Amino acid sequence: MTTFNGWYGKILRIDLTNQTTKIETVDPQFAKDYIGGRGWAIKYLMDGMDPAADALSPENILIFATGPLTGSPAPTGNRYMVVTKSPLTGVLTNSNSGGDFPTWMKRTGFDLFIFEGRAKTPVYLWVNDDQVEIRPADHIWGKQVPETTDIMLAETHKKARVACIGPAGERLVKAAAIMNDKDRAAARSGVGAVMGSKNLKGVVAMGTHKIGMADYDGMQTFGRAMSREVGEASKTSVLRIYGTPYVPDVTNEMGILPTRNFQTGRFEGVENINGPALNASFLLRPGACHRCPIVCNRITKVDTPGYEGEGEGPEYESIGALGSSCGVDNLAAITKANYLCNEYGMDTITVGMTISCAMEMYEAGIIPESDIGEPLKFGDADGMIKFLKKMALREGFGDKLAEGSYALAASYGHPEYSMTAKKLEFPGYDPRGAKGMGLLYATSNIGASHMAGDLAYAEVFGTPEKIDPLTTEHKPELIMRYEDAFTLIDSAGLCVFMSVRYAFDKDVMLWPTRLAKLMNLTTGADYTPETLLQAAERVYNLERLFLLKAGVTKADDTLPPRFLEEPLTEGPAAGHVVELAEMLPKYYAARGWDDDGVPTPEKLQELGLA
Amino acid sequence: MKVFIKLVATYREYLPPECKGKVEMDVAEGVTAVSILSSLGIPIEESVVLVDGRSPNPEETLYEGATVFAFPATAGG
Repeated sequence: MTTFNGWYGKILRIDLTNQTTKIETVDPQFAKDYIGGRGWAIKYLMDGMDPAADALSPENILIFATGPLTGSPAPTGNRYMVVTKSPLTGVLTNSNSGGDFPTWMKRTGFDLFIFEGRAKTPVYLWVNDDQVEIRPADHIWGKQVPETTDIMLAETHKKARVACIGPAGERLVKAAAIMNDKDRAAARSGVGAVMGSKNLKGVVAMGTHKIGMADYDGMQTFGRAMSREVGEASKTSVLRIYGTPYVPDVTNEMGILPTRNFQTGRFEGVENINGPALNASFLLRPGACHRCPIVCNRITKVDTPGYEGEGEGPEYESIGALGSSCGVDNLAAITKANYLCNEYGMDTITVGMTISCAMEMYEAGIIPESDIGEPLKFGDADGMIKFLKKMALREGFGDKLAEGSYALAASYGHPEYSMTAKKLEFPGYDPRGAKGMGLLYATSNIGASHMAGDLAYAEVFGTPEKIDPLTTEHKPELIMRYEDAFTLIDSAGLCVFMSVRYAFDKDVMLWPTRLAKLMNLTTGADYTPETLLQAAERVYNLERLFLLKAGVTKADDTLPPRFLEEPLTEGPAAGHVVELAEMLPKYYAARGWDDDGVPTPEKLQELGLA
Repeated sequence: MKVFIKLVATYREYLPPECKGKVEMDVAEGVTAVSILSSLGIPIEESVVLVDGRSPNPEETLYEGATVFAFPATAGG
């Protein structure tokens, strides 16, 4: 029997249809070739299902995946990925979350949980080391995320941790998230709806397993020194003091803050929704995922009449989608909307962007008032909240919103009002003023996600170094590298906030010298930066093959016409569109794909995927 | 000539609190964004500097009415 370090080499497979579980072992060469986390998961997904299957059918497979550095002394080693076929986009998704749950899941002694089939009635999974139970959840079905979490902990162990869905996931709302530790979210692409379709209400995890360390002393020295370095810098860092809400000021200045469904990139109410406004009004304290030295979470409380609540958020993306994109500058309402998304279990980005899509289509006279039941205009904070709730419960017009912005806009014959790529709603960077982000949204394996290869680090935030956001030069090669680097981070089990700054060389090309060292000290593998990047490329190409088998073609590697044809009208990016036609062929060439975006036989051979 | 300085996030602390990160300055012709920010004590090497929202050439001199914007280079959103 092989001894694994970092990885356990053990998978828990849960057959929900037959209510059985089994433990499988992993081949050590596979472990190394596919890194872990997101990398392992795509291999199991590809081998286990037809990529063309309906995402909400029992044929879809839902995978919870930790990486070899999840639960290790590496700073921010507290992440997991949810990997499945998305019901929102019809393509692959991999959605990341932190908090405590991923570490607790790793302590069960399994690297991956793989859910198959569909339970006849609601259930939840309780894993305590090797003791695995599928329990009835009829009595919890219908409850919101906080209450669900409390009940599951009361019924299992108060020191366990929970990942679950709320009412939105149960109703197969395509914005549904899988929430863990109540307020953290694997949010994107409707992963909560997949869980709901399987009648799986939650997963409770705890355990006593500890991962092996190939070089315990080396990791103590290097990993802990890295943690100290990150911790020391973060004491005075923007992310601790303001969290990501410092960003609206920056993107607004650059003219790329999503405003009124991306009609413009500057929002007149920005000073009411920025970091200082949040700190002055609602911030109780910064919070952190398990053992994270960065401490970027926002623990907040709102006393404003009509918007009372307490919880986590809002992050920048939530402010952009629920705030400026809806024309709303009422931070109490935005924060309340964020709490509601957490409680119903929904992605703030898809929710905000779908409502803002409806607002634009209403104002354009395309969606009649009779369909909505009342006016729904930009700036209507209470309308935004009201229709968020209707969306979660599929009530009235909310049933249309629950399908996401693309299906909504297409149902009126105007898909161009949906700000999506591969039907996934855009995050908070208008790509007309950050060209690399435009190429990323168009090519990402999961659709328009910044988490798929966030070149905004360099184009916007000056990390590792500032590059010109308005040029297309070098962007194809950079996007390929960022997609691969983020694949590495997701597969290892780390957070991007730490990794981009500390796990790669301080160079815009993100060379993973320190990440290779962390991986080798932990797993005992002999990765070099080159072989690690090649493993990421293997994973990325296998994901692309999944997309192609799901029916994706070159025509899907695109952006809404707004970004290709309508120049921004103000700010430094005025006059700019995304020159996608120029960048895309160069990107395909850099990837070793043919003119149709299909990996060549030579590329597949090189990566061991032939 | 007049230029505007806009400092956000933790860089607001480089100006008196009542400024809330924004100030109008009278500066001599020929100054650069970097020279003004340096005079306020801002560590340029660790900063993102924008002039009217774009990344300036370091030697580029300011013009009447320009907005100089700065924040600490950091992780994303």
